Amino acid sequence: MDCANARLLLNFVRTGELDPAEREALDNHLSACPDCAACAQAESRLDDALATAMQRVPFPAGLKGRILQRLAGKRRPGPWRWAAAAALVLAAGLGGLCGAQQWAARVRCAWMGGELHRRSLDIRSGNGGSPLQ
Amino acid sequence: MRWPGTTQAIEELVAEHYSSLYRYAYRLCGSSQEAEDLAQEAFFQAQVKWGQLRDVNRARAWLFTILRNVYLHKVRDRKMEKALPLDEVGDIPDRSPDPLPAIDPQRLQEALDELPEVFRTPIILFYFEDFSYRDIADQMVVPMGTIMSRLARAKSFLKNRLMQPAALVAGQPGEEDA
Repeated sequence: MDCANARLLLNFVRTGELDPAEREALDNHLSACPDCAACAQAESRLDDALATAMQRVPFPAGLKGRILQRLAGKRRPGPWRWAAAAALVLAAGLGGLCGAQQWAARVRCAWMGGELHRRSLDIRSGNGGSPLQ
Repeated sequence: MRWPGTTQAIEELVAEHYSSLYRYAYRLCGSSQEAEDLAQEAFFQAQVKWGQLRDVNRARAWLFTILRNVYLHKVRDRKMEKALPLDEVGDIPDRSPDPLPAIDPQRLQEALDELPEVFRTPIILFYFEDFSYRDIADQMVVPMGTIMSRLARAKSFLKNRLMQPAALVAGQPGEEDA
């Protein structure tokens, strides 16, 4: 392995993406090349320093509880939602009832109109009988 | 949506990942209040999209992707992303000083805030969560070579910013550099 390849493979040491053969070849090169070994050490130290600083984040107390609270709030319908749902069902029921009554009245009127018309035709044609028999 | 079946799974997801998700959010945006909002929103979206998670072993990467998308939406809405032009981010890393001094986390945040998001995200994931190049490439939907290049440039940028005397910890005088 030459130095260029070794420097390339160094990028994958931290993430563990080298296969065993590549790792062995890299280790052999580093033990034989002081320049690459120094570079590897320096990069490793920089990586460790950056990783340590990166993870030092001030952490708020009670965060987990607040997250769960928000998720539960979005998940479970509150009392007002039950009330709204009940009102909706009631309104739909009443609306349906009124509609059905109106429809029945219209059918009844249409039937009576047709019946009167038929009786009047009967009278005119001399079939007799009371128009409202 | 399968609430009864997912409730316990989501709660386990929160218990396992809320701290790392919050820390990722914090490093991404640099503000504790906004980081908490981002983490909450990410978990809420995870709850809504629970059916889209095919492999529970990939839940961590999935959550991180959701959080990044939430962040990018907010950035777009508020036009708040402020960062250096891409070509000012840096090039191949120079040799680090020896011995290497400790790095002040606050100065690290200031340096991260200067980076464009496409450089900031991979370096946070690389150092903070130990994701592989492949994981990061998958999350950002870019080729692995692009991730490697961005990481090298971001690392060089951070090193240049943080290895200056004012960036070092332990009561160094002169808190601001030019």
